[in-house]
Amino acid sequence: MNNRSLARKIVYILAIVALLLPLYFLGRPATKGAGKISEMRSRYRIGQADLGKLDPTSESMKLATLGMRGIASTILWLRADYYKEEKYFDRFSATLNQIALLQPHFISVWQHQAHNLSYNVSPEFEDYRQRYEWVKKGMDYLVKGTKFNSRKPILQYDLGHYVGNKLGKADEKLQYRDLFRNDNDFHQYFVDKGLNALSDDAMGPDRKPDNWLVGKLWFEEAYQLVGAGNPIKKSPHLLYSYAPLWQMYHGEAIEEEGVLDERARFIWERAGREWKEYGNRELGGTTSSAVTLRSLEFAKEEVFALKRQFAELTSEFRKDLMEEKKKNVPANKLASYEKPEDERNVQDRMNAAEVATMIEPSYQELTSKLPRAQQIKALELSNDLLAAEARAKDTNSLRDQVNYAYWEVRAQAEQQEMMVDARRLLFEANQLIDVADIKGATEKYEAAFVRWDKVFRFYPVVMTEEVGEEVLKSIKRYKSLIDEELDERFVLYEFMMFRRAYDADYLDFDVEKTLSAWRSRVSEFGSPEDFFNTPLAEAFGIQGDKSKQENPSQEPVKPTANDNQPTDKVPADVPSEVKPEEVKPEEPRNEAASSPATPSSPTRPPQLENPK
Amino acid sequence: MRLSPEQFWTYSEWLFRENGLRDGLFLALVLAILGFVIGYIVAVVKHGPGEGFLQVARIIGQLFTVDIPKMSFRRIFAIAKLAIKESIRKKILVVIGIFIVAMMFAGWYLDENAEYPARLYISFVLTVTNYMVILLGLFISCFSIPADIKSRTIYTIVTKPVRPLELFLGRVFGFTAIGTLVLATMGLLSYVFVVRGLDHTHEVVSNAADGMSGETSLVNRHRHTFTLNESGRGSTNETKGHRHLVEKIGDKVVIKEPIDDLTARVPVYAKKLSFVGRDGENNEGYNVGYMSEYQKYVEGDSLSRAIWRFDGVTPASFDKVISYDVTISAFRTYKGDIITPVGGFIYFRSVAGDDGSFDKLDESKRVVSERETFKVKEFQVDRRTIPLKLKGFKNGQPVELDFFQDIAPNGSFEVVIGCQDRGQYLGMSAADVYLRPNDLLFGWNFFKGYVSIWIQMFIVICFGVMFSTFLSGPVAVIATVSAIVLGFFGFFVDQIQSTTSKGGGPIEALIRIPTQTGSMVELDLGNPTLEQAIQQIDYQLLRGVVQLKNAVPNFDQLGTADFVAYGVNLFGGLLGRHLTIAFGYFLLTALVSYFFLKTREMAA
Repeated sequence: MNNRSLARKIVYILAIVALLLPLYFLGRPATKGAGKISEMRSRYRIGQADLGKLDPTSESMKLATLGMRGIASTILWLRADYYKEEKYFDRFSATLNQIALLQPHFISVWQHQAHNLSYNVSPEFEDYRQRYEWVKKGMDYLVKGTKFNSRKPILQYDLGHYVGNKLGKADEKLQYRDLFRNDNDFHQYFVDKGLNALSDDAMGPDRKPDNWLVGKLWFEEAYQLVGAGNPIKKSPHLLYSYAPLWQMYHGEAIEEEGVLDERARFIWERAGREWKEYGNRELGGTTSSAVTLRSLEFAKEEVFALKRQFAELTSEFRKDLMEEKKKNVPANKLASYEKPEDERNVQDRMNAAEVATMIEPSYQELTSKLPRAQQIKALELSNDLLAAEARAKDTNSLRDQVNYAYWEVRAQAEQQEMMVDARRLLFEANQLIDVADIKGATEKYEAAFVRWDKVFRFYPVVMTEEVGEEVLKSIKRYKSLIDEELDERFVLYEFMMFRRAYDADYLDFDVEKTLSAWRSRVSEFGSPEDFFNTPLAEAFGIQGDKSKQENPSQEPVKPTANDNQPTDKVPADVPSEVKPEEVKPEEPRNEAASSPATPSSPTRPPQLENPK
Repeated sequence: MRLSPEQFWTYSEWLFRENGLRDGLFLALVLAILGFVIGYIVAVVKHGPGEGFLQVARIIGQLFTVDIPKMSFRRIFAIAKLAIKESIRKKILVVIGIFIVAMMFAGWYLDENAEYPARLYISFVLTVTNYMVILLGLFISCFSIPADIKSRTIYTIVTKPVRPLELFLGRVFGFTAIGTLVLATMGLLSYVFVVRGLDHTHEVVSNAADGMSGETSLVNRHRHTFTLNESGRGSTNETKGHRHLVEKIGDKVVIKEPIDDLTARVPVYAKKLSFVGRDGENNEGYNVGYMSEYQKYVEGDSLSRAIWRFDGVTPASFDKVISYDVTISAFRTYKGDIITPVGGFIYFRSVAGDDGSFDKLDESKRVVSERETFKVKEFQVDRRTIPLKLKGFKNGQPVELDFFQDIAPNGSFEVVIGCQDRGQYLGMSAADVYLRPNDLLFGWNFFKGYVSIWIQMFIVICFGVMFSTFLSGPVAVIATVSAIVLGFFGFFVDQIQSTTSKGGGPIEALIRIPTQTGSMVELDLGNPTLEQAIQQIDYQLLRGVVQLKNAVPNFDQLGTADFVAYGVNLFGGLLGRHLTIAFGYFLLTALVSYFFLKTREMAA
């Protein structure tokens, strides 16, 4: 009996030792020879110390749950939800901190709950200052997360969004931006946590940290981490667009707040430069080869050249092949295709497009028709062509996703003194409305519109998106000030028509086509310096329409007071084709010389003249 | 803080008007009958029907003829002393050491960015003390009697003329005494921790040119701005739930210690909150779409109003002004003016008799105060006052009024709140407007919070000792823990039974887990009869659990930490009610223990 019991115990001990041995070899620390687990841990860099800061609070809390960390964090999550639902926000925030201590390397916790604080809890507060505090709490949460997860650039990326976008695009952006600018303690907090929010790169025009620029710095932190080999689940073309975009939003924001001088131009100049650098960055496309956003023209040229070479080789077979393929096309569709273009109805147009695709011979079909000796060359060419087409398509698609062309032109346009002046005049006009100076506001608007017209002519793409929208709003305000309808004589009439079609999304309105028609005229204007320094009438080759000026019903007599206006001032009620060249926007208006006539005065022209 | 109207009841209202006494007696009767029946069944199994009945009758007879009348306080005291000595010998006081360590590291876990640090500190100490003391009560009470039985020391007791009831009472009193000692120490340490943890002062870092306003230094992640009056006194703005008094002494501006964070407001709540809709008809207030139904809303720029009815308010509590607090919230249907908060108005008006409302008053007797407008302060206490001599309208005519003569001659009046801004809403609950005649000392309220914890500990000890009279130590622990868990999470059982929680009862859940059927899909086993049968069994099982849950104390409701943390005086009525409930459980456990000790074979 005793022997059996002893034998059993020995077997148990042997079994325990046998089980412990592999455990020992697997779990040996790296210092005592290569333990498999520690080797794998260091290879994949998933040891605690590799993931981020080792925090005694977090570690002791994990230990204190005695292996029931999962249950504890689940209970805390449930509780956090309850607190949020019942609006116990102080407890909600405290619970989130506990969750983070239990799951410090679970990135979704930081992301999800920071979003909760900044975007979901903050709007629950009535006072915008309280809202700002809760937006900050979300950011603070993310900053804490970065310390626990030094290899997860997504948190810095999120911080870039929160600091820039949440503060800079919310309805209360004016208030938020102002609070942020003056929040010295928060800037210092960022500095303490490793982001130099007090550096020159973060300073706005008033030499205080600007939220867009601080956001940009966070993105740059994320880029550095990504550059050091830490992965981020974001497409490179989107990821790298944010820093330069934030620079542009910074420019937009300060202009909205009234900084409309050299400082704004300088900011846009930098934005343009950074956008260009971003355009030159190699990005992974959907095909294997990397593309740059600025290589579209090159890619198109390459396709064009290869197509020409291929066509030279195969042109004699192309027609025959198409004829052959036509035999398989249904008769009614073929009839539509063969109709002259101007005789086709909608159905015909659809049929024709379908037939064109059906009968278009593929590169392979064309190659197969060639004599054997030429086939290899054609095959190589067609392969190159397919690759070049894919590259061009990729580049174009990536450019569309970040609206590359728009921002490129926008940054160029914003650097023009003319555009800054146009913005300044609009800003001043809006301010004059607030103090009920209707006449002053009307004149400022008119002076601004002449300048906007020039900007739009040279940079038509600026008419789209928010700039166009802003100008359109100003036109509406102007219309209600002068209390009259605007017709084709109005200097921005063409722009208005464009926006009407653009906003209503008319079926037969092709934005691209219209914009390229506008753009085709730009080539006649020469360089931007030439254009913006050239008198407007000259730029358009307009000699002045005397018949209009002579017609008193369309062109009422100018108020006498305006005759006294210095010629270098904005002749608001002078047809723009007559004196736009005299516009010198950098000089302030002589308010004393303004006409005392009211907007509804019968002596004022109904609208500015269209220079066309 | 969320208060429900039943928490405002006074002790007598709860006992008589809300039938607390009747329900208690009824429960006692049901339990007595149930106990008798179960005892009888057990006795029948052991001794047969005739002898069994005699046994039960004898034990009950002895309870009333011998064991209660001849109970000796000296013996109870001796057993209690023994229990205390035993606990000390078991090094129970180490718990205090653990508590001190917890306090030392508390700063690591407390949110340094908290909007209201006082609430966090107080909630923390109360919660930690609560859990520790309950665990302490659990372990000291469950192992004592089984250990005595195991070590056979019980014989030295039961062979003495000690009555079973005395054994129970002695243990309960002894353990309660040692628990009280531990709790008192923890309370004292907690108080020092809270007061010291929150105490701070600031320096003045910037001062306006006239020296009458400025900004303080950054301490504990916050700073204040302050303004002084002509006499050089003033206060800072409220940040992180507190202000500081500021005084100009000579040329120097001195910031004093924090105030308003450790308070114990004594609120006088309204008896009733009613709502009027946008059409002027009574309704239940609007729901703006929040899941929480705690607050209901009134619509702006319409006839919609919230009306609080106050009774029994006497002039004695107020001198010159009536202080009242408002804690309502706003809901915007459009963003509107971002800078200015949503506005409202408030006025006081007379009522007819004890039960009548303003509308029932004869028009000539209608008295209304002038409207006072306000901008809503969300998630803050808006401290307001109205003078006792005020302007208003009598029968529609503007007159000078005296609050207690004209508006509330018999102590009853109504407070009416409406929202000014069209399309916006103001949200409120019954507890969101209250009169605030005076404040009590925070320390006193803190003490009452600890009394609440003591009540919970006492109940746990009673249950622990009761279970240990018929179960072994570990099993008694499990039984008591089950009772505590049921007491804390009873609401969850209610949720399952009322099918608010999806996924069915235990059997259904057991089927769903292996078949990987999510809780949002109907149970489909291809046999409706089987499904119905499972659901029926589950329902009966859950009913049993619900009944069990109802018999154990509801620890969730016994917790009063929120009162202390949110600076609201813990009502005497509520505390009295909890003490009464604890006494009820004490009687119940004493009787159950008596029967078990009486029938237990100690020779085992």
